[in-house]
Amino acid sequence: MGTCASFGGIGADSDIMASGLQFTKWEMGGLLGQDFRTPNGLPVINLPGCPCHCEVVVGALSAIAADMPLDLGHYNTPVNWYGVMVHQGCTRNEYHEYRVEEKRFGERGCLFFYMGCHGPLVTGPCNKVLWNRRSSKTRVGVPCFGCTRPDFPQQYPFFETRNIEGIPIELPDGVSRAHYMAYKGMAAAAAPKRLIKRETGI
Amino acid sequence: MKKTRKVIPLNRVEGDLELHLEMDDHVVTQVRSVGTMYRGIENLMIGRGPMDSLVITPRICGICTTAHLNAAAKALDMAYGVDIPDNAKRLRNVTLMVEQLQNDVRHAVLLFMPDLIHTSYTHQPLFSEAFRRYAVLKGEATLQTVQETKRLLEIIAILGGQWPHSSFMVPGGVVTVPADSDIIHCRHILLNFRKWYEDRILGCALERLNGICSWQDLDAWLDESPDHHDSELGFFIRYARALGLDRVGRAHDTFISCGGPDLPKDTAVGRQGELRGFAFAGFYSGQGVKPLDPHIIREDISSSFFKDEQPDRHPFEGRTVPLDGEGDDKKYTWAKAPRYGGQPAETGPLADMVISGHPLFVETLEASGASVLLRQMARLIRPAMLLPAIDQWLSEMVSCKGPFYKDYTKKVTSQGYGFITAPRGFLGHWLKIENGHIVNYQVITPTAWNASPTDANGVRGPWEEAIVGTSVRDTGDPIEVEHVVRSFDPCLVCTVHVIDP
Repeated sequence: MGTCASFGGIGADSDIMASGLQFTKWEMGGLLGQDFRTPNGLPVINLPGCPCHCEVVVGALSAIAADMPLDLGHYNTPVNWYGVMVHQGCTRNEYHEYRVEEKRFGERGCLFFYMGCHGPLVTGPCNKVLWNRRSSKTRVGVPCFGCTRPDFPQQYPFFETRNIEGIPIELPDGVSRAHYMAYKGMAAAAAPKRLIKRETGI
Repeated sequence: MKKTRKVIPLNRVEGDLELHLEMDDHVVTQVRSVGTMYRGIENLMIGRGPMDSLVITPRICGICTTAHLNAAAKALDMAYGVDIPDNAKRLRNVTLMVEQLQNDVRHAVLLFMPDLIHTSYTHQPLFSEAFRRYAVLKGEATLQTVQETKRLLEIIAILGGQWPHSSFMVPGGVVTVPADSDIIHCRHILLNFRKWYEDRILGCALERLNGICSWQDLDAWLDESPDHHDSELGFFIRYARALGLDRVGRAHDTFISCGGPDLPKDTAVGRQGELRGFAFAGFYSGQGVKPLDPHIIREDISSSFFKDEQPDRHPFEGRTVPLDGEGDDKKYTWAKAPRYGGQPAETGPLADMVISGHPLFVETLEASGASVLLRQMARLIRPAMLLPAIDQWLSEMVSCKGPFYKDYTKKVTSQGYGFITAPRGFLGHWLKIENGHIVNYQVITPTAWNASPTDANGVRGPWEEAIVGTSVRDTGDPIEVEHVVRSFDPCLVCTVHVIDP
């Protein structure tokens, strides 16, 4: 449970050279080795996140206790919670759609192009189940830092987006760069004034 | 004389800690406070971008996460020379103080009280009542505390996205621009919590409690009404006295607080003198209170598993170089020993009460010194002093229209520190930036002050000092020692077992 137990997390790059139980960052292996299986034939089930959302913990344990099948996706994470992108459900999605971007804190735009948001890049249920039943980091204007991803915490600075000519180096999972650039250019041109003027709430 | 040695591992919740005790005929004669885990977070910061501290350091602790964020943001504010807007101060203060509220009540009811239903107390007249209130996962107060504090934290989620581990405070202010409707929800949540806290924890209105200035007043309050007598505070005072907790746990009686929260320039908070319980930055010793001098804080490594040619350093020059197994038997812990002008100091709600000059606490301290009871009292009533200010600042965020963030120019080479009153006391972050990257980052947590080991002068840390001299009925299960350590709110839940009888 948590990114440290899953992938090494914060300790992976510190003096203690931490590893996860069955992964070290992106590589399979880790403390128990890639061939490890429980007596029931299961690999280590990873519930990453820093912290892991309490509903994910309770949900995964409940499923196991009730003998329900728990489908595992990438990095042996349950697809129920790690099969959605963090930004699905973000209240800034319309700003994202029309590329109305925040360049300065508090501008109330999308945080992807300039502020280092990992919402479209990383999976997790933050905007689906919400935190403390109320909100999420991206909703209030804190970029997603990708805390469920095997390389968290990243080795390049937070709060800024690495880019080439203003286009992020890392694009949303699976998109074609050329098409994405054309789409984003057109989307920005089509952006309604109410978004540009921030008349639509978040 | 029967000599006994014990190792008490204190674990669960946050971190790993053991107490190595030596007892002579049922009295503790020597103790070592042993931090058993090294994480290396300070070293991990070196070479990173300065803003990364806002993401990494909140993850030091899952309970004081907002306090770490605030300390990191303040260190950056200072390094970049930015004076944040009033509304940013309000939002930072509200979230920080909500974190304190939940911690104070959770610690008192969920972590401290369960030790009072220890099997060695079954003969106590108040035992069955205590059991009804505090039984783990069943007690009436226990269940209510879980529900109410969980709800309270929704305020931090509304204003900061999530609790724990958000990064909504940044140099220049906060990223959030709350809608008026967000503030309304926050005020409802706070009002509900306040009502529960008044009904259940205090048994009276905040104003009535805040009128208490002496033990005489407190005894009169206890007898005034069954609501007072039977509240968690009233019950705690009665039961703790019956168990003698007013006579154990005295440390050096030196206290440190970094004060706060930072007052906005234009605010009604403080105008009516309701700042009692809000300390200023100071140090209390037998010579009274003196303003805090950040220059004379040093960390000593004489008993710690670290190497350095100097026994102690100021945190700006601090180093964290772990030993590779070449330690000597003087070294016993992964915690360093913070010292103020060469002296150990206790920090936490009691330190804040004493340094802010709360007469009830100052009077008792000067008469008979600190005790387990006094520390827990301070923690139980601190919310009464925080609640009105939190509500006032929430309403001012709406009425005082103004920015929550201010632009500034980043400096490529600079330094700064951020001092914050975290739930457990004085938290400090020290940051040095060169060529746009972090070259040194040092953190001194409240528990580092309280749990600090013996220094180069052979002076014990606060809770080591508080434990020595404690009488123990059952040397195989020294519950009295646990009361003492827990009264410092060590962020740890203790289990006692014998490994060397």
